[in-house]
Amino acid sequence: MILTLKLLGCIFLACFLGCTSALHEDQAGKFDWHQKFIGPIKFVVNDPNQPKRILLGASNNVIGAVHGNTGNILYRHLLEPAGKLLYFGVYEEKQCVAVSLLPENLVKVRLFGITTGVLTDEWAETVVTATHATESNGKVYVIDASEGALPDVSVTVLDGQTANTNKYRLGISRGANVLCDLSGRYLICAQDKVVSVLNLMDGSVRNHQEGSTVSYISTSGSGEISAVNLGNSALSSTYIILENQKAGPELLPVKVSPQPGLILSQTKTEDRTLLCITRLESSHSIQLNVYNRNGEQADPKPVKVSSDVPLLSLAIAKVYHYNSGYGLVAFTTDATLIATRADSSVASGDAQIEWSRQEALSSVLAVEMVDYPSEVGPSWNPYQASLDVISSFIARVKYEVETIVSGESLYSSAEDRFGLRKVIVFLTAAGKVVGMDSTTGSIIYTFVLPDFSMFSDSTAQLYIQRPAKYTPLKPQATVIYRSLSSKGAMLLAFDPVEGKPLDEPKSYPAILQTQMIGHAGEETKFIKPILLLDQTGTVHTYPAQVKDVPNSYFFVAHKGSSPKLEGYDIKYMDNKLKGRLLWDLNLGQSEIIGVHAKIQSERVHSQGRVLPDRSVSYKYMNPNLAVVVTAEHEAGNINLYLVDAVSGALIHSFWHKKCRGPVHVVHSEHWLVYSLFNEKNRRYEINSVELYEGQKQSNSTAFSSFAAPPVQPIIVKQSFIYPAAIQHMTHTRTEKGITNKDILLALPTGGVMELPRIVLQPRLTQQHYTQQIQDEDGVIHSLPYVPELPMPADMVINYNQSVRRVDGIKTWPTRLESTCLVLVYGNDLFYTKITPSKTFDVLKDDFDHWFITVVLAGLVAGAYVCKRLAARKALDLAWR
Amino acid sequence: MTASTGGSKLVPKKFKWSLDYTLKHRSSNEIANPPGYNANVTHHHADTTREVDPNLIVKRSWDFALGPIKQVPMNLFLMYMAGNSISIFPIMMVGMLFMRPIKALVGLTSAFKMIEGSHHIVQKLVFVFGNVVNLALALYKCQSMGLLPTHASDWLAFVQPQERIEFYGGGESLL
Repeated sequence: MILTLKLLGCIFLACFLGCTSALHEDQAGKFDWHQKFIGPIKFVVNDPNQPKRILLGASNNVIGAVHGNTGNILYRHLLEPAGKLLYFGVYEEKQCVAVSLLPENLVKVRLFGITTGVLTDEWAETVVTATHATESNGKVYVIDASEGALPDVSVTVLDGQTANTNKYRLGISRGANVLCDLSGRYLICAQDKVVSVLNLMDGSVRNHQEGSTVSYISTSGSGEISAVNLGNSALSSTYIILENQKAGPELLPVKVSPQPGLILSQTKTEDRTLLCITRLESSHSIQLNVYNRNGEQADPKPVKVSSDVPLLSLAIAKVYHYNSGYGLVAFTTDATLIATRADSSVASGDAQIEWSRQEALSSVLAVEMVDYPSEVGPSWNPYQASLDVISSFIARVKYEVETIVSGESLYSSAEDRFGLRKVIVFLTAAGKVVGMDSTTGSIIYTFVLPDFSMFSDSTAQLYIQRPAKYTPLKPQATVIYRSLSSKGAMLLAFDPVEGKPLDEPKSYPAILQTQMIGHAGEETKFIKPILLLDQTGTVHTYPAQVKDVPNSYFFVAHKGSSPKLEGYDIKYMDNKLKGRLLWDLNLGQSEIIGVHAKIQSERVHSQGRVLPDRSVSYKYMNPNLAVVVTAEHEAGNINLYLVDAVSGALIHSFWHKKCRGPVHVVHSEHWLVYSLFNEKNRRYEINSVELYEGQKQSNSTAFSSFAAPPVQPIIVKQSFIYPAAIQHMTHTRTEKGITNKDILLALPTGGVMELPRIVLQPRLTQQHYTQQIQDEDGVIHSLPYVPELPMPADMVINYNQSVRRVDGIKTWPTRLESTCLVLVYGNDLFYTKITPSKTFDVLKDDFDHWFITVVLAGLVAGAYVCKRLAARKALDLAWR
Repeated sequence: MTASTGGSKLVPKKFKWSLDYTLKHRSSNEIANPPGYNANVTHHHADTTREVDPNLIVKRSWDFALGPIKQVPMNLFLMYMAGNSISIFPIMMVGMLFMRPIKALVGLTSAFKMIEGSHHIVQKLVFVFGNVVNLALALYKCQSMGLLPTHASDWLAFVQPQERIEFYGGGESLL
């Protein structure tokens, strides 16, 4: 009997899992798209055999090659995510070399076949520390010019077998503000006005005095010509470094206008090597001049490269020689890779930027989605409903007439009708905001945030203050970030659909936290106000005219060695909003590794769980519940605190001995799912927690954190073993919360696994699930508990479209209750839609409309014919 | 009216119109009846129609009143046979179980017209009781099939989400 039950359970589980997210072969790419990125590019090299192949190395330890005509990725290697790429270049014509610095000062040197990207050789060496690396004659030079060691520089030469370290002393003084860079075989370090040049081969040093303070160094990179451009925001001077056997390296000035912002590179033609100096002339054109190795102008006429897209400033500009013309690949400071078409470069003619790659999207800080305004019908437009009857009637009639005249329906397609088409707004670490159409993945707009830097925990915030449903009012999105110059907070409101700013950038003093009020009224034109709490306890609002915000609280988790949680109460006093410290909670010696709140706007359909004896266990749905995760590194413990963020009450806490992070937490409705690594058993574990009020609700109409007596939830918990590491975890969302929830897990293999939460639901205890009920129900109420979670391959929603280095997964509801949009971001972007409970509200793709119509018409016609025949027969009978 | 129909049915009855060929002694002061008319017959005939056995009426009424109760064993058997699974036949059966007593109770006034006789009050009560018993059986069947919303879980769909009183925002310190 028990065996049968177990068997049944397994079959049920198998059926349940097997039917969720598999895709037919012809559906691949139909609802989803996938984009790959390289990252913040640091090295641009041309393949000497085929200049059309552009080799790229990014500082986040990613290397790859793109096609010079299209910018499509030919190959890409994501090396260790924790590593830093020190050097990437061509190695002995047929190979390329990547030198990366890993944690614990391990330098890894890898050789790749230049045409295929196949790894051919790899070796590692431990060094003290490293800041720069270069390669010359098959030897790798790893240089330590870190601030602590200067003016001493240690150079380690690696050749695969041996490692020799030499120490040299530069002619600068100890201390900070030293800029260092490599140009060929020379290390150039500048401090204030003193420039010291070190020859890495023989260790000779030459000091040089600049006319003005040096605030940046640009070099021509590795190659035959070693050139350097030293300058500040006003002036710059360019030198070619010459070898001098007796007196060390010598700086030969190049006759270039002393403008700032010159970018050097070098290119090889058939017979000689040329130095190329690139300058951004205007926002739409780049000028490039070519010099020979003696510093004389090789081509008197400068080449002009014009661009359709405005360019901010260049970080790297690599000029190459192809078909007796010049091509350009450049990387801008706002993380765009731009290039001319390799084919179109002609000798004297000016070139045009032909393709660009938005590499900023490889480091996304925040994502939001907004509807297109046209998608939302006037019948459910709260703004127009708020107008008086006559004007809303006029608006409606006007709209209908417009629809008839233009011949366009309210919705341009079914995608729009069901809210499947959105604008995805990305806020990236490069300080750039990118708007993207969700159906195609094409970029609608980009703009750069002025004076951008990230907050201390490398975040910046993005809010949707007004969604698109309030047409004709424009939707409004707002970014909040730290000002680079003043270190205060900056706020910029913009239209997320068009990418146009809606207001001047606002600046505030340094802030502790921000929040957006969840409800908006007519007085702010349906803009949800943003509150910013600064250090002095003053609460700033945006828009500024917001007066009182009743029942609002701030929750701040202070990091540090002994973290502290604080709760503030927002009060309107003396014509000002003030935050008053209400409570604080000391978490002891540990480190906060995550604070996880619930999504505030989410709707929950069912208020309880039905038990097998048909009683109800009501869910504990405290909307103010936050999960704070701390790690005690010395003891190797992980703690989770369930804190009421309004009253400061500690609802519950979990303590995991001998565990380590990363801890990924999914917090929604009345449940919590989190993953961690168990060091004792050496396995990844997923813990599932549910909170219930019990068989009675303490207050069925409202929830208050200050209710007396406080509601003490019943905690139900279960642990599972997951057979793989987890990079990120989130849950699906639907509009009304009726559809089952699935957990999405990003795996290091590149897959995104969809796991039904019901599999993770803590199993019922014997009290509610007696043997009798079990026998009656079979396996309906509770799946049998199996500690090892399955990992079936057909639950991978991105089939073979691997997503690497996943930073986050964003889910978004649509107007179809069954459907949830998913965006996976990291080094790649992957977008798709999933249906956790299958498409119960949509006809199948293969639904035969024609067949149904023909059958229906046939039946109607048949009914009429039969009626006639029957009438005739009845008449005949009557006459007989 | 009875004459024409009754005549064809060979029932030995006396008719309103018939010729009496037997010679009778008549008293002189009486006017003779018209030929063929029998004054006695009319009277006699009226008597026979009205004069039904009262016991019979009571019996027939009892039959009618006890009808619902007599169905009970049959219904119990059907209920047992149909089982507690939710499928089309048990549902149809439950529907029937409900329909019959409800129909009977709704048409109570017309049903009461059928009940006559001395015991009519008791009989009416018995009739109502029988229907109520049938209805109770139907309810019991529903209950054992789990169709009655008697548990808290049956009302769960109508529980409204709790309204939120306090609002908060924030997270890790941005300093």
